[in-house]
Amino acid sequence: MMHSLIDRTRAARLLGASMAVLFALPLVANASPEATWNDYLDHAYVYSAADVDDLRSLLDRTTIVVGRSLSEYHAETFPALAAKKTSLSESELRRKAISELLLHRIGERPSGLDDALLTIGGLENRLDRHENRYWFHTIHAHQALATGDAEGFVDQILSLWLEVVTPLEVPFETYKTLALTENGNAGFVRTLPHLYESIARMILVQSQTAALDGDIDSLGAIARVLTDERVGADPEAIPVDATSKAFLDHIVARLDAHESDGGSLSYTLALVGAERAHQKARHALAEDGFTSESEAYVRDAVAAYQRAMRNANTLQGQVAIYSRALRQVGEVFATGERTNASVEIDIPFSITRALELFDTLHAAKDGDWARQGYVDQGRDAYLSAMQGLWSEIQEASFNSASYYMSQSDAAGDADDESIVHAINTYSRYLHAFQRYEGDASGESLPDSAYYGAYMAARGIGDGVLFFAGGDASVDQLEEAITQYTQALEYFPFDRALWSTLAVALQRSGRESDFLAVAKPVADGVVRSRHLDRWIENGSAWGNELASFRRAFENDRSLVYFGFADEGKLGELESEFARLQQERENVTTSIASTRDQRESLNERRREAHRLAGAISGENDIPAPPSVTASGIPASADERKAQSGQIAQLGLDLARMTSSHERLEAKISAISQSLPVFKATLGHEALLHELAAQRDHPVHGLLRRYVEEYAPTSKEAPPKVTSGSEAAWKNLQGFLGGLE
Amino acid sequence: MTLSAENYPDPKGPNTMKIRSRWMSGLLTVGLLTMTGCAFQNGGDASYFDRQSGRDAVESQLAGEALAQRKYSMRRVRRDLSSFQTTLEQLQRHGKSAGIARFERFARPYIEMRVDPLVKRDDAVSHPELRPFHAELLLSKAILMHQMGDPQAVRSTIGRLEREFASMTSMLVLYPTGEAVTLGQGITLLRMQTGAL
Repeated sequence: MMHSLIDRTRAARLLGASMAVLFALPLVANASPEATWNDYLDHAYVYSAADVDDLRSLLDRTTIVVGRSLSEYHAETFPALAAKKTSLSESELRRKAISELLLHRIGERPSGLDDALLTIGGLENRLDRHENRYWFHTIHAHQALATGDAEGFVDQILSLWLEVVTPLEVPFETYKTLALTENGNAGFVRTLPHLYESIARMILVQSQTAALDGDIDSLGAIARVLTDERVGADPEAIPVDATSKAFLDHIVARLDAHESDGGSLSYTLALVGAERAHQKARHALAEDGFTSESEAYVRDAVAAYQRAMRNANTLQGQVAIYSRALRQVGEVFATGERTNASVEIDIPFSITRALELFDTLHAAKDGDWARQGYVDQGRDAYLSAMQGLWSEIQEASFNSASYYMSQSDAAGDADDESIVHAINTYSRYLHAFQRYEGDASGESLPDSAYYGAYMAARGIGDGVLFFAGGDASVDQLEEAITQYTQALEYFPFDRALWSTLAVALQRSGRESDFLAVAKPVADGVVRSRHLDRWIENGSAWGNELASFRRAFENDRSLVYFGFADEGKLGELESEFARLQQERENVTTSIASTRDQRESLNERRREAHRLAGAISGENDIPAPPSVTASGIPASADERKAQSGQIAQLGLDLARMTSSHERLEAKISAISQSLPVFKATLGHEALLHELAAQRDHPVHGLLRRYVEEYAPTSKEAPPKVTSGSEAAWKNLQGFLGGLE
Repeated sequence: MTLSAENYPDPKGPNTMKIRSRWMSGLLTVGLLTMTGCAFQNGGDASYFDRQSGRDAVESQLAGEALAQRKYSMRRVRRDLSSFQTTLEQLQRHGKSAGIARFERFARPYIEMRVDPLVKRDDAVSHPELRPFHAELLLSKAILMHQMGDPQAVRSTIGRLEREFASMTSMLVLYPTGEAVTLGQGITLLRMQTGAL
């Protein structure tokens, strides 16, 4: 694409520069003190087809050299000759007609063309002379251009070729062989390189400048033969850079290219002109945003695309125009969003119509695609055009939806009407996508369409959540949850979307369903054969995608996706450290409590032993009478000590339980947090996928989605008891993080 | 071709005379050679030897620059015809009858003016190096005439190819579609393509 733009720009620049070189030729040739308008008019075949501004500039310079203007020359010469009541000679008639044509072209003589027609009519009996015939047909061709008579223009150019160029070609080749083309005696024959150039300009440039809106396809043959060692083939006469060769070659290449209209020249010229106008509009929008000038450029481009559309007979041609016009739609909306200005330009190329064209194209996929215009370019060109159109539909849809989502009402809040537009735009895309997804041949949609489906589903979810000032109803929340889930099925590597899904679930009071909703999607990633192969092969973004897959392998890290705040990751880590410290404290307390209880127990055992020894109960069985020191003197003391030991036992049991819980938390966090952290910082993938249609990961996404039927089409997942239990467990350790 | 016709005052005057005199001396030489040839042919009834056919053809063979120029012309005209075929085919696919009629009004006289002189009957075997180009031009002409709905011209051209190149059917030529084939295959293809079986 970029290459073709450069080519067009270069071609346009060359066109502009070429005339400057052409102008120099007669000036150099006749730069003598006695140079007259007669000399310049006799060489007018060199420059008469120049762009109007260039022509005016040349005639101004010649005025300085000659000493009077062409108008003055005309006014002073021909009426005087007529006054002599002698008929004008052949050369005088020719010069008069040429000067009238030139004055008409630069706008100095409104009646110039009619005058020229009348004057050249005086030479009708001398059309055996090629020079006369050349000017006769040239002036009539200009007349056809001025009246918008495409058929007349074609007739004149074909006659010019047949009756002037063809007879001159054989002698020209002879002269060239004998190096006589630079010889003055070669006569009008030697002008042939200039005639080629002038004819090329009339067909390529002047027909478009005059906005000729009819069928000139028959001139495709002339355009083609002009590229064949004719225009630009005689650098001694016209330097190649000063010819229209580059532009001509570009046009002829486009006639046969896959964005042609069955080889139509009328269409190709109109489309190339529209592309130029589009370039101007794009540049102005990028530089200045919406100004009266940039808007005028956009309208010019739109009008040019409409003109091309009127010349498009085949679906091939219409698709090429819509592909470009939709890009302009996208650029206009992107400018609106970027500059925070409302879009007030009406572009009559709708996404809806483009989708209809896509439908028609798609319907021909296994049938008569060739009859849609691609007969010469083949099926690959047809598929490429179909997928290209889809890409433009996608881009225009998202640019406009994004613009609508950015619109605010008078109070500065999100504008509900705009949100509805955005949701409708996303929905239209998603529904269209779902009509064509699942094509096993992979021919219907470009790979990037699957990422588009993710963006559309996510966009709908966002729109629903933002609607009515964010005060979403239960049904809206359910819709948002459905759309977010669907978006994750198309693209599960958007970490932020998982937490958005969790927020939507929380707002509908269903946060406990998070794992139930998220797990099937995460399992899809874990089980994907295509992803596994991608990672194994070390393909693009393989390491990063592997980190996501690791994170999706366990429920704990999956919960992080839903509920961990990436912005507060430092707090998470501090909390983790605090938990570890707490575990150490509890461990110490347990040890201390155990020591304390052990000590009490020891004392108690010693007291029992001493009591036994003192009382002689070891000798004769008798009721104990404990009175020794260190031994609880009374039953109350002994009871208190027993209570203390029991309390220590309870404390110990509580601390052990707490320790176990801490251990579980720490274990869970230590396993999950690093896995979750490994998925951070890969947002560039999203930007790359949005910006690059041919990003390799698009191909993976397509295969990944096709590997599983989207779960949204299946029954909604039920909360299993296992998941519920897991959720409660996880709630426990999440509670410790709060 | 009139070389002196429609002359222009030459801004680069100084070289004119030199080149003109060179050109004139060339013309003079050709003229003398022609006259000499004529003298030999004027044997009259008193000639003792039997005349051998083929002598004229040998003496009129092209050579050097002239041959190169003829080859160049024939190649380019063949490519031009190919461009015409492409355009006509596209017009027909679009069903643009007015454009087709307009183009045919151009193409028929073009063939008469530019193609037919290059494939004159007496040039058929004039120079071995021109034979493939000659045959290719006839093939291209036949295809174009077929596109223009002129079966008689197609049959006539095929007939010429078969007669004039009867002994050269294994000669390699470029068929108008761009494929290199033997002339025999080319004629068969042409018959199939035009329905002139």
